[in-house]
Amino acid sequence: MRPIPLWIFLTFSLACLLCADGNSKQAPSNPDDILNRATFVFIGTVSKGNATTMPDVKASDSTVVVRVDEVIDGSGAPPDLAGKEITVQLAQPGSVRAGQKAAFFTRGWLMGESMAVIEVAPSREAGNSQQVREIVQAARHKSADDALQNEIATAEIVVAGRVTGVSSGGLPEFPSEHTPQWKKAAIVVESILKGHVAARTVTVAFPASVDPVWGSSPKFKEGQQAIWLLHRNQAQLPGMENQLTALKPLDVQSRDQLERIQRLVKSGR
Amino acid sequence: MMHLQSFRALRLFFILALPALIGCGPKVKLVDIIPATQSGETGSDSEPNIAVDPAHPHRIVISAFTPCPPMISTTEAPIYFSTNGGDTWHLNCIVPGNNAIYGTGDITLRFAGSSGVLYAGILRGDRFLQLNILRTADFTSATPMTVLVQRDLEDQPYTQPHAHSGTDRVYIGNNNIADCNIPNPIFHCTGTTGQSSSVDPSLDAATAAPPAGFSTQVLEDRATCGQDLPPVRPAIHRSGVVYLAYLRNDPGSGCFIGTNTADVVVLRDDNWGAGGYKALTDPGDGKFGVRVATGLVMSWLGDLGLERVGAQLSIAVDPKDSQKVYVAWGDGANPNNFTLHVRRSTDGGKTWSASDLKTVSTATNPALAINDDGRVGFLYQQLVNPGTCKRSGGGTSCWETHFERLKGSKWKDLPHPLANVADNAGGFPLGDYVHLMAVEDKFYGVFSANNYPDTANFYPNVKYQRQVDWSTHQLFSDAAHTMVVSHSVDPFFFTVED
Repeated sequence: MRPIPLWIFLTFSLACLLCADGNSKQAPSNPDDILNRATFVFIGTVSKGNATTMPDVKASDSTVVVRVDEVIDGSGAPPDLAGKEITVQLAQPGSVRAGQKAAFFTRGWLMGESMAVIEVAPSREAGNSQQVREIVQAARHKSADDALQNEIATAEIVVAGRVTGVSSGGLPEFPSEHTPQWKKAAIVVESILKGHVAARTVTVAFPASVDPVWGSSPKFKEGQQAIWLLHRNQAQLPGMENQLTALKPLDVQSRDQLERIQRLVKSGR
Repeated sequence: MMHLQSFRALRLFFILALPALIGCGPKVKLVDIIPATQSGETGSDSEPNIAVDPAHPHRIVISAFTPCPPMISTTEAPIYFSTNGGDTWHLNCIVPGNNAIYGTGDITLRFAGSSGVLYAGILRGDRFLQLNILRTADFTSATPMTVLVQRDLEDQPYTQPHAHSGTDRVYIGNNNIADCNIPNPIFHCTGTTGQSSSVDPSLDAATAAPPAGFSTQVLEDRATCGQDLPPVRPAIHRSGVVYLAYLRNDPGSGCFIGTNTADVVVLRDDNWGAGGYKALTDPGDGKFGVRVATGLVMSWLGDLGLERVGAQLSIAVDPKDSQKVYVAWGDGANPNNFTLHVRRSTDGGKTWSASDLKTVSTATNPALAINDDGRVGFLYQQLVNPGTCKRSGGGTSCWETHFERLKGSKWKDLPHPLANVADNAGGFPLGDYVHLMAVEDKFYGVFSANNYPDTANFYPNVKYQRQVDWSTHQLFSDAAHTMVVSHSVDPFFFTVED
């Protein structure tokens, strides 16, 4: 990973000292915190101070209208934001002035005809946008690794293997429109990355229901090859305490993630 | 052919436009609430609910199964809100427990009155069947809603509040799955009584620290097959009369295997719930709660078109007369012929009309409301096959969303369905419920529908905020209309006033 450039480090350090706005909830304590909380990062030019683009955001010395010049990172943001004006609620009132170009580290707030975002740290001069992009991307990779590592840490067993059969019945259901419709997948273990497996085949329960409660839980089919992060009592439903499950999307990884997962298992020990 | 088209256009003008122009037709507003900056979304935003602030009716909040854009939050699910009477809408992620595909689980939300506090009962999207009761004093802020109650193994929390003497009185009907007691070995039921229909009331919920007065009261007074059906619906009159309707699952029911056999039960309390909802006793069995209809066979999660049906229920009380109450439900062993029924009591729920005031076949999602003029509104969604909707893709079925008003003894439908859309936008396109409410003389409602953009599919003057080209029937993610997105299911807000 490339070292964080001095100007960004100083910006963030300054943010730690100055971030006292009520909407910021928690003052970020270091650059990683800021980057983790900044879900929308962009380069923009301040159009107007004490102004907004949204009628439901009251103009104040904490709000500025900013023209988006370049979106650095923002999953779910409109694809055509560049050139449009949005509202930024500043972490520090008066920290930018009209005409100033800056890198904004924000989190999204409102989406309507326009958008409003909230700074997680005061913005400073934009510098090199490619440099900002690389830093953010590195932070996103680290964040993704952290999330996967946390999931690995709570998993009892991590195995690479192949589904050899799927069957129904025998698992406790709940009389609700959110009934899981449990099925069992028999997975032949090809390698064990974490934990201990007593037999060559492990049985994993999964909800076949596509109801919203279970819709994001991975479904398994015969022949499927993957790496499974298997948890016990993951659903925390009575009667399912002893079943192995992989209910979160992160719990099923493609086999090309093998080296990454091995690394994360090792570094988590 | 041209003559025929001209005649049809003229006829449509006389049916729809002329009455409105001369002021004798209903005023209808219909808006697809997906904001312009969310034009790229293609999720199935179904099972919507609506809250209108009775003190300031231009403040409106809607929920649906919409995930929060990650650029806002990965941990809080969204609400949609409008502060201009529903003309434009925003998305704000303040509901705890976001799920990356559906946002939150079951959710219903309401305002009580002058406090402006918004309440919600939800099943979290990041847990399995965990109930949260929530509130916020400012739905436009970025601050997540406050969790007042958190409890496992619950279903369909349904919120209904009322302001009284400076307090917010909030009632959240719910089905307590934890109490299920079904002997069938496929179920794991660890409860004791199976009397699962319950309510969580609070007589002063606006500002008190969690749990803000909420505690659970069991409503079911009869033996069940082991668990009641999910809906428990409150209706509140300003005098303090509180009605609760639920679907008792009979001891001889299939009990969630194929079909259920249920009774529609209505409870009443005359003092905000202080009497334990025991004002009504059934003359047949002496138990609390009058059975409006008994032995109703209900398909359990069978498919009507691409929508599942099983347990539909709605109740409304006349603001002008606390003794006048209406209930609607759905039944049918065959999901392909699921049928809605509406009945009325004029004596506070003691006796009910012996036959239906309204019957609608192949329909679901009944929702009743009564305005300050005492006029009843009835919202429902009916599958018509073959239908007349415009479409892309396959199929012949259409979901028609109707809003009818009871005038005297006659129901009057709008001159055009609010929506008449193809049933080919994937499974679960509608959700398990919609909602209708009234503030003063105006009806406010929300439903979900296929957003295939053809003006013929919607009530005239429908508004989309998302990027659309009506002439080519295309949706776009960008304002320049260069990036086409697929059709999907959106929530639609509407108002109707005479």
